[in-house]
Amino acid sequence: MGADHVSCKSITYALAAQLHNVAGMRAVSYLVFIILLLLPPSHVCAETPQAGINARGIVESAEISGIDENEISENIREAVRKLAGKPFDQQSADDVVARIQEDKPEFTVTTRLLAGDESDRVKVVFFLEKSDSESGEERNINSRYIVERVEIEGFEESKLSLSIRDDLKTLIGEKLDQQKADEIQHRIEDELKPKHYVTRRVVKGSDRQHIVVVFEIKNVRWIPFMAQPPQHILYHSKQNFSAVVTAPIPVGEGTRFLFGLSDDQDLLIERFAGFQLGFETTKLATNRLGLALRYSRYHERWQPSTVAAGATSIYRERNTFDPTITFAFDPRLRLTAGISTSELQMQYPVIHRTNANAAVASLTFDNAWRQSGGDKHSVRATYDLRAGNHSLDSDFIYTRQSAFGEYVYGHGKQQLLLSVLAGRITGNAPLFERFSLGDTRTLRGWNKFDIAPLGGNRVVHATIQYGIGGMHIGIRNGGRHTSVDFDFHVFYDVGAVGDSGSPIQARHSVGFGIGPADGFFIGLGFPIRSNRVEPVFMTGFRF
Amino acid sequence: MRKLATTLVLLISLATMLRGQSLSARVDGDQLRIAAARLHFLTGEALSRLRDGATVKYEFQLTAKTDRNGVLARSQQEFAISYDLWEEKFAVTKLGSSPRSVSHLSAAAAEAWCVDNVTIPVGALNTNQQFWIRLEYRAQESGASTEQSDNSGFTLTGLIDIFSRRTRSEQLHGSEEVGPLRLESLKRK
Repeated sequence: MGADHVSCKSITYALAAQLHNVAGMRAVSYLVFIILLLLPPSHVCAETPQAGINARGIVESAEISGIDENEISENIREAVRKLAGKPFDQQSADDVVARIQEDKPEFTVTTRLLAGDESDRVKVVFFLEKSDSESGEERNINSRYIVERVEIEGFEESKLSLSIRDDLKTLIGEKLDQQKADEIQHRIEDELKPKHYVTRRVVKGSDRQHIVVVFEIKNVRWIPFMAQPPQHILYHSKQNFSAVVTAPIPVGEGTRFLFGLSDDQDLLIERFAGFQLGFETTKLATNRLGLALRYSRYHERWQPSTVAAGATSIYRERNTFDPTITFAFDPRLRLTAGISTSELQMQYPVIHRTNANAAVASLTFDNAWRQSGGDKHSVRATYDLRAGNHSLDSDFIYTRQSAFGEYVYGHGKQQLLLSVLAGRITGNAPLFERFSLGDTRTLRGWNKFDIAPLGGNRVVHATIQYGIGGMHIGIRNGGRHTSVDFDFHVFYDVGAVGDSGSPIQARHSVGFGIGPADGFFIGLGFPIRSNRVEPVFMTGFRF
Repeated sequence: MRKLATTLVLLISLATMLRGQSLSARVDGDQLRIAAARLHFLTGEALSRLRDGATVKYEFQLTAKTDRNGVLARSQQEFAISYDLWEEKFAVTKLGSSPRSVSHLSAAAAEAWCVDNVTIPVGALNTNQQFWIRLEYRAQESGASTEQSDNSGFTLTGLIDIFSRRTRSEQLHGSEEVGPLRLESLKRK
């Protein structure tokens, strides 16, 4: 296509240039130039869509390949011969394919069209391959070339296990077997995970019959980028729209600035609107160390039920600065520590400012792996600690602990997700630290302002979700990435939130939906209760 | 100068209109076929994978509709595309019950061959009925690990991807639509 494209452009420029050279034709030349650029290439170049092969051409020759013709019945051979001299007809070719396949079920038959000696001619080849060879899905034109050598880049080959090195040798001297190469790639990945991942490419060999298979081993980024707060654009039928969007501005590998806007009521019991700025680097001298600086400035709005339940706790503005460093023990396990300083403009009894400063720490583990049978597993676990104290000049003295765990099992297209959340606050915490349930992720079907309008200092929640979809374990932006995609799914949520010392009631909900955890989704949740059941509709997408 | 400006506007409008007619339909025997001269799907990440010697599988869906909702007929077809490293040409295999393949194609020719091989039986359409044709395509993920490069953030491309993807790896997809059409007024071959 490149050559065709260049050729078209050349004609365009040449024509415009010719006109340009003629006195008095300069304006016209500009017009022609614009028109030629705007017109599709086919209008300009009259390019044949199937250059070289005329799929409607007269059949110059028709033959069977991949098997001795004598092994095919005479009737079929006659049918093949009859194709010659006539315009190529796909239906007739399909009929022949069907007859050959019926005659030779152990073979896969494909029709191949090759360019004829003249432009209006086409050669037809019925190509037979043993069915146990490369499957149609993996069929690759380069499989006809012989592997000259196998190269390992980015890693010392001698450090790979002997069995893998032996397997690599089996590729050499044989025609390229894509399936086998895939298997070896997975084996190398399994052996070198989680610190490395593998990409494969095939390049030309020393002559036209040979190719070289290159397995490139790359280092995984140990610390992932973390957009905070998490990004989404959502609609919840009881809580209206919520949005947190952040635009990254990459500045070199592993470093970026962030600028985002928020107007959100899904994450907290307050609706916060404003902007957030940030700087992140996932490699501070070493892969193991990262730094994040985040600043946000929000204006708060509250539900009447929240104001009624705790008027003296609400604030009108929240300015937060969170500097943190992250240390990665390995790409699966990392510790983040830092401080979070928030200045709150309290509304009652008179407008005044208070500080909610806390030391923060979190320990995160995530891992995903696939088994040889194709089953996939994903585990995520996080423990969070936030402690406001006098030494940080905080007006709120508290300790907030939470733990979250999620396990996903994928078997073929079926997926089962289990998640658990538990949290506890002691002391006097600001409202943005308090727990809530009844949003687009927890107790789906309930409205958090009906459950606990002021949130709670105790929370426990669990989800079971079963659905059809797929789990993709791969590399994204140099870092390990697992996406769990649900097409259709059903869920059951159970949870309780409230303050210690007051009765806490467990609530249940069920529902169904489509869409993944980090993409476009639609869901309908039903609260399980004795009185009126009013479903909650949720939709949106998460980044 | 005003005349020149008017001419320029007219010519640009004409060219824009011509650009708008990107999908065309024709009747070929008992099948409705389409052509999409400006549909280029062998691009970007998929093209990089092909040039690295991988097979990229494409899924096509052709739908005939009465309007935005009423589906008259729908057909799906899968193709496995690879790029011959030595010949520097593309090869396409039509997957399914009667597989066939074609090789030594330029990128444009490979794209055209795929589109030409997604058909709808004419019998599914009424002669006098007005209908629209929609062609959708999607490149599927490779069996092995794929590297994706983005910044996990808010970008227009990211938004489009999120709205229409099934999985993150299925980055390349698109659609074209043409209509209203009438069977009786379509070119026959």
